[in-house]
Amino acid sequence: MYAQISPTPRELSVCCGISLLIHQEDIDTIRKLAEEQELEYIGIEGLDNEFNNRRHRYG
Amino acid sequence: MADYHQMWKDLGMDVDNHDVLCNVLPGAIGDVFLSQENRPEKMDYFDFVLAEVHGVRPAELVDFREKGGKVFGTFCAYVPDEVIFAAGGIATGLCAGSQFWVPGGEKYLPANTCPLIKAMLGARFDRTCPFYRLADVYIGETTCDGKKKAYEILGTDVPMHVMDLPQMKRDKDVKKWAEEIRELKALVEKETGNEVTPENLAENIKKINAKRSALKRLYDLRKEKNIPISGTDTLLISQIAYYDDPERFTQMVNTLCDELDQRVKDGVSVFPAGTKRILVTGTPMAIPNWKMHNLIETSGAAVVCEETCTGTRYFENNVDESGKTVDEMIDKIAERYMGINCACFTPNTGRFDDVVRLAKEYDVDGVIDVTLKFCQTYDIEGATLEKRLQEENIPVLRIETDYTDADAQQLKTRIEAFCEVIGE
Repeated sequence: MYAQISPTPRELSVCCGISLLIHQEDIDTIRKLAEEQELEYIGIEGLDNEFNNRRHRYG
Repeated sequence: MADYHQMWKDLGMDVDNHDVLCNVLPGAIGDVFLSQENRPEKMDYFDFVLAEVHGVRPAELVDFREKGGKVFGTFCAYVPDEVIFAAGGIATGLCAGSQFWVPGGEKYLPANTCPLIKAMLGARFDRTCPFYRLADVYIGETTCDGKKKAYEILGTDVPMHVMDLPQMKRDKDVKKWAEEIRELKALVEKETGNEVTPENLAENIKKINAKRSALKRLYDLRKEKNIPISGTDTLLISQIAYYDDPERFTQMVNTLCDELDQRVKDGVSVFPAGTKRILVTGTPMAIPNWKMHNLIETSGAAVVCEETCTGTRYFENNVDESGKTVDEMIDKIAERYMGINCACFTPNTGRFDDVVRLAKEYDVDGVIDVTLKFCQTYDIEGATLEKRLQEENIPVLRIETDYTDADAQQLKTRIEAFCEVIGE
């Protein structure tokens, strides 16, 4: 199952923070896993963001 | 998810302005790092540190200071962390690699100053970097004229100690650097209230040597035909090396290397077969400056080695651990650090030898010499380096750039053309 640590997009938080990038089709499985492991998280959100390694914008 | 706003406010930061930086970094991180395919799983630690770059480590430093600890901000690979940690202090990097901080620096410096120095002052005076707020004392060094004068300006706002790095490498210069390290020792002892002893100095020489050895192990894995990790990911690790707790960092790099060892056994590469191998040399690439690596590695090439201060200069050659007294150990520390080949030295033929040696060790198809704009020493030295590489039949491309995005497409065209003609 794909999972990737990522900075939290600003659309979802006004602060630094980490998120886990997951595939949409894995949401139900991961939600269940998180409940079983009693993990605390704010929410599972979707964003229409695309990674583009040729955008060449570095901040 | 932690909310660091209160911590940033308590540190006296301009939180509203800092939010502008926080707004753009996640997108850049996504484009530069998360877009890569088949990254090692154990990059997750470094992704975590990056995602929380102004949160988790600053929070540790806040906690350390609340318990009476002293934090020493450093700008350069010449400052010996061993001495600072031996006195119970923490050394943290303060170099700044974002265009975001440059306009703030231009309020105090001429526009024709290198972006790294301008960003340093912008990060301090605009109050938009927690590390600049957390360092009790800044430790500078005389590695270029721009930095020397910038330290005078920083010194009006924060306690500043400048180490006088000799500009030649004669025996008397090594002795002079040892004296500078003794002065640093006296300073950190006074600031921390802790004595540097043979025991704690020996312990911390071993600790920092272990960190360097872990980075050497990581770099050695990039010599493989199948390259198990991208240059962009490795650059991030080198940048984090300046900030992270050294023992934790060493452990995490070695854990990553265990995974990379397995990748090598399995013949896994993050690049297609035949990808051109590039050695990057030149000026430091402070976090979050990933511009050149991103450009190179999206132009059909792989960066397999960096002969920079965020590369081999940082970790090559360990401190000799045979010293018994503090004086002997400081002499050994001075010898190790004076072995770094920075363009501030004259002559600096050792750097040319290093680049040629590394080009062969890493089996590169070409060298890209990257100089930050207005960095005179590396810029001037570049022509001599180019001549030496041509004599060795090693293709070289010289690039001068800054932190802006404006020249990205022009650079990409030049890099793609270079990569097409090399290694044929």
